[in-house]
Amino acid sequence: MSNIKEAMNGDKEAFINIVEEYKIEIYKTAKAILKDEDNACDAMQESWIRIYKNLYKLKNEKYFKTWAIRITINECYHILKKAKTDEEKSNKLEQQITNKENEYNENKAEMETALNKISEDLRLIIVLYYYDDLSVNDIAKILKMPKGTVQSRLQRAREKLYEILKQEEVIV
Amino acid sequence: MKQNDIEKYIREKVKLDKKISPKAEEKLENIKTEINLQTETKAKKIMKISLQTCIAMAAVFIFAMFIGGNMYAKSIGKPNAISAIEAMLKKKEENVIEENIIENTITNEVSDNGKIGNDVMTICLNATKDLIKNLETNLIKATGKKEGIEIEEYDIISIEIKEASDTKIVFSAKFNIKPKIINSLSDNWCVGNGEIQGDWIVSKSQQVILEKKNGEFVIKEDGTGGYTESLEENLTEELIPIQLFNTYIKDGYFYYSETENGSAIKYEKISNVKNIRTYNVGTGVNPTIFLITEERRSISSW
Repeated sequence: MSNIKEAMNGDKEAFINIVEEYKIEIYKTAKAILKDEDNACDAMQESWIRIYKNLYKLKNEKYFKTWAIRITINECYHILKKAKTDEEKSNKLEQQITNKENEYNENKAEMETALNKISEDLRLIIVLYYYDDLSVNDIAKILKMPKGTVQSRLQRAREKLYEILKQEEVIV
Repeated sequence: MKQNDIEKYIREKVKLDKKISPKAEEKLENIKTEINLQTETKAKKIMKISLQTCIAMAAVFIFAMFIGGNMYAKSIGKPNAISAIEAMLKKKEENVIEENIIENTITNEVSDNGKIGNDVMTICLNATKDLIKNLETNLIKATGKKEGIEIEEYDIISIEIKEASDTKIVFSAKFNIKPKIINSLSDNWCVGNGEIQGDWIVSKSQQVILEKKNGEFVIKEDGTGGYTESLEENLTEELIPIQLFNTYIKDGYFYYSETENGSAIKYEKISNVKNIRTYNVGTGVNPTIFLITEERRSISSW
């Protein structure tokens, strides 16, 4: 029996294996939307707790990855909306993001720096496609947009990312 | 550079970056500890027993069944255990309701006697099937698309009767539906209180009021917003409020936009909007729009 199936039956060890198996996908998705490390970690933690609590609702184990990623995206949007509704918090968050960005720019991986230079919608598509290994079809379902839109955004994101990465190579 | 080379180049870079930060790793360790500390509720336990113990247990079980069966037979005035079991099965058959249609457990919270409960349950089941058919018609009207909207399969998960009298029945139904092509719903369809899982939309629920007209119960009202007084009371932790922007009503139509600077689009003709709220239902990305009427009931969520 797969870890997901066992976790759906309440096996905690199996769930911990799932966390290990999908940790990169969930973290990278949160990072793609929120950019800020602290917020992404909070979103990731909250998402895993939600996944754990709601796993019994999953109808079929084969949908686990898309389902879990959708929960993460929701959690990130929730964090963004919460910050937006509270102006004070929002300003603080922006300040934090700027500070953290400066702090991270020094040590950040090449790819992460490049990803942060493209817009959120393109960044999310790149992460869902390359990091989470989702198909265009699944991305369209998760983001509720037509397949054609996903394909064109992916194409645009790919070209932009390549351009930035190449520029960085020249600078280095 | 060719597209294939760009693709290869990006994949190589991604491969090097497939890792998480030390801080995230630390958080994950906390999650694992937290999960381990929680009380085990559903975990399956495996008990190993020897063959001898197994045979002994089976013998005790058969003996207990024999004694128990004869005692039950005596209590209902039957000559032996077999005729008592036959009588028990016959009794059970009378209480079975459309077992081929319902895959899962049906809960009936009506505390009336069994006969009334079963009649009410049958009425509610039929009304739920009608509702699912209506859902299809509503979707075609709402999306303007016919292709893909057809509901191919459905499961009724549960029916909970909240109120039942000779003239009025109030119940909530929970069901899963499988539209023919789920993709064609993407733009205009609000998942409502359901959750997309592959080809299925699961755990949709509907609140229904039936009223007796000409000797038959007919649907008076139905909606996902809940029958109870307050919509907020029906929200679960999964429901996240999301703000709508630029909302206004013009010529009896409701307009809104999903972004602060986006231009408003026409949504639906309404005349008695009291309040407008949106919730990100289930795990859907886009918000579901609830228009709250004077009665504080959602009138336009699907």
